[in-house]
Amino acid sequence: MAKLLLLDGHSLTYRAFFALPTDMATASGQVTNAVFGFTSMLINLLRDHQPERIAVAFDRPEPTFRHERVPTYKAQREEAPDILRQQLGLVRQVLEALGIPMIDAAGYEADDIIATLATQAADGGDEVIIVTGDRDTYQLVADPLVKVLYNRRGVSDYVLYDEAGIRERTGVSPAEYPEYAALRGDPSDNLPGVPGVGEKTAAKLITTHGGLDGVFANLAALTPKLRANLAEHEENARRNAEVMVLLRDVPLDVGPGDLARRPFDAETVRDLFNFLEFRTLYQRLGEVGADVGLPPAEEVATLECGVQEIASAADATALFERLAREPPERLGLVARFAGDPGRSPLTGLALATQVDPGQGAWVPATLLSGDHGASAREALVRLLGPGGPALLTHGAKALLRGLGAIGLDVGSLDLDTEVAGYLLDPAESAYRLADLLLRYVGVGLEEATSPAAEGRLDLDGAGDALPAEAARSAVAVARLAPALGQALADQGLTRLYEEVERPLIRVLARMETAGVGVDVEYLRRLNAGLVADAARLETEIHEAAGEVFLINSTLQLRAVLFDKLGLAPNKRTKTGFSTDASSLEKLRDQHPVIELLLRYREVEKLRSTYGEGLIAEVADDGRIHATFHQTVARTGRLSSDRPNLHNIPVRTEEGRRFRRAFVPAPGFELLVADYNQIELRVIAHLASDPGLVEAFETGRDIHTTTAARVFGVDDTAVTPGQRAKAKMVSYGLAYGMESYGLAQRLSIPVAEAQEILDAYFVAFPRVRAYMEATVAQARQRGYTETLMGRRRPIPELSSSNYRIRQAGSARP
Amino acid sequence: MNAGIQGLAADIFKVALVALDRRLEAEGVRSRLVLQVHDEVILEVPPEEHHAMCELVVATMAEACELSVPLEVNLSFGASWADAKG
Repeated sequence: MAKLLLLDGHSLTYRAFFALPTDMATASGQVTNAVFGFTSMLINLLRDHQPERIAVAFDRPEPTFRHERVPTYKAQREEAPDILRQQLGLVRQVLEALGIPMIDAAGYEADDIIATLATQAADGGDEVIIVTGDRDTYQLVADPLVKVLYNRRGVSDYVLYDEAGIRERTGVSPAEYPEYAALRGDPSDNLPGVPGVGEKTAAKLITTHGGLDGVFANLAALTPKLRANLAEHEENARRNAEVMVLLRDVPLDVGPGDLARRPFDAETVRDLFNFLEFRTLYQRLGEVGADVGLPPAEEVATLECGVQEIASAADATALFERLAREPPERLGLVARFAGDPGRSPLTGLALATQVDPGQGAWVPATLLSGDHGASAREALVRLLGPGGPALLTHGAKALLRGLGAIGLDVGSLDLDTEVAGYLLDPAESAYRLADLLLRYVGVGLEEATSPAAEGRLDLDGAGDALPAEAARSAVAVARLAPALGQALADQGLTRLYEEVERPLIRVLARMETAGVGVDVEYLRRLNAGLVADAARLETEIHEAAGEVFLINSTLQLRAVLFDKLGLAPNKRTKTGFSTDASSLEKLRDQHPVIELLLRYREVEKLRSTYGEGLIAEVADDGRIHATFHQTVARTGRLSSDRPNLHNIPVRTEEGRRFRRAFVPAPGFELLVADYNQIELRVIAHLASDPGLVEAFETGRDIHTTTAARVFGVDDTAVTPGQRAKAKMVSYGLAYGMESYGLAQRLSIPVAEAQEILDAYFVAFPRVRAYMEATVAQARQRGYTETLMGRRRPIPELSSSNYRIRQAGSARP
Repeated sequence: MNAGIQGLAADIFKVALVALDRRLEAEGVRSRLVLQVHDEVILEVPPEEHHAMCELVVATMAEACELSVPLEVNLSFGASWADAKG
């Protein structure tokens, strides 16, 4: 049994084009976003599925039988932009070079070709995976051989559907899909459905009546409105159903057996990838080289570095003094820790003494401690203090916290390559030094083979790797920093870095070191209370269920709820009926045990997260020293962990109970300050909406004023309900909520939510103008930008793809 | 499309944190920053600095960024985070 991958070339190229910014281009100006995204997807597919056979189907410009049947078919589609059409040619060139068969047929769509080949392959007992962003292929899914890998958006957001998956997604079986879609309509093909029939209604109608014939034979059983709509649009729906069925008998010159990858000329591949400047993609072809038969990619130069291990406090002192007196061109310095960086003892420091060829020195922390380390510490204070040489490091906050723990402050921090990497691309999931060096300098950094790679103390005896690894990193930082500094300048981020992010590093490090006081006794009582609550609920659950079982075991819980108590389940997962909170919520009325279960889960979560969770984080000094994250949130906001203080509930009584545990040091009091309605003020400012600005300037209650304008009443006539709705709309805008989200929050129909939103935009027209301008700008540039120049890529690309994209524009 | 809104709010808060810490250090006070969560800062303040901190914190945060609308700061004291915040 062979595996056949069938790709819809147009659909996937379009997805890539709209997912990636159009400023991706080669030095000669050829825009490459779509061909890059497509090639990246292709390599991922080859790597993940290792297919024996593969083909890419394309649409043709000639009209198809669908255009003949429905003159308006796809009539609304605008001509693809030139920069997309050119790239379709490049996509074909890439496929040609890689020896991947391409198929098209005049008068047929790519979908029909895929349907034909999938049917033939499955008939022959082969496995088929269809990769597309077009829902019409749902009808082709057939267990166990044919699946659809549906591209939801972008280049990496996929979901794999089998028959159960299609049923869960749509409510109908693959065979029923065309008739279901006929009722629902397909705006992307300009095929209107029946008014008032959405996905849910369509699925219900089709499954209840066994198809369109059944639906139209049983119109009398339906509500008058639905009956009228269906009757009026029957012809339309039946016509939709006709054109939505994919053809499985397109005459083709090839069959599934002919779709093995052809051999190809390595030189052609190299030339094409060179032309497209897909350097890292070329290397990734090497990764899947065994499958595509490519020669190994050109080796990337790796950073070479000598290391001098400092063995005495006197040598350490001499080194620090020499570096302070005659600083190297750039002073790279990294710290290594026994455990979590910054939270555990420092094991040593590595300094770059020479950048190229690399030379570094390793100073074990033991040389800096106690009486014998006093002079070395003083020399280090002078080296790192204000006026010292500009310090370059990776992960400055941990370094500052580690040095703070031995009484040292840093006053000369210049560039933190981790924070700079974040500002340049806040969509990454991590900013590892090796990745940044490869991306911005094009040089590899050898990973440490020992646990030192994670900055951990090596306990298994291979410890001699640590000094060399740390020294390499120090040199890597010194090599990387100028490239990042330049990139920050190029993107207009220097000021944001120097005036906000860089000074913030030290502020956060100091705050982590200070920690916050905790009333441990209170916390213990709180935790004991939760433990008792959980135990009581456990007993009550066992009584209600009539047997003792492990509540946290999904299997046992399922057996009790659905087999023993005979409750009617509402949702199936891959492994059985769902017992998650939302599923249980729906069973609430069926049995008293459900209510108890929901409360038990809530108590357990509070206990583990905030009860035991907080107690575990209390340090020897009786305080909690969280770690603040400056390089995680894509919005630019800060977050924290150990513990995560950001998810303590803000407005509930529970949240209040936990906040009571945070106390000042004896003899002090806590001051808490925050901004009042900061998001709304920011909206007023960014949009320069005179109505909003005036409301804030006069100091009136902003939500009342907003409500008065939105609902067209006098300030004094605003009801509490109107004020609440206005408030929700305002915050909804700040958090990117649309009518659907708003409807959910206000428990009102979506249409009503949309009306309120529309009224809001009429009342505050400049806010709408601002939102539209932001969207337009993001579309054009591929990112949004704040007043201070902070950028956020749109859409959110998967980290690996985005990294590769930037590698193309790496500078030496 | 709220990135610009969230991003600017984040920037203002960060500027405020940096400015606060700088002023606390410059004034040589015993008060110190101990926590930041969402748009909230928490300081430990000795009784003799109570009034000075009211003014310093409110002024520093309100001046963090010049918008076309005033920035307003809520401030409270307490024997615990819950006490102060409610």
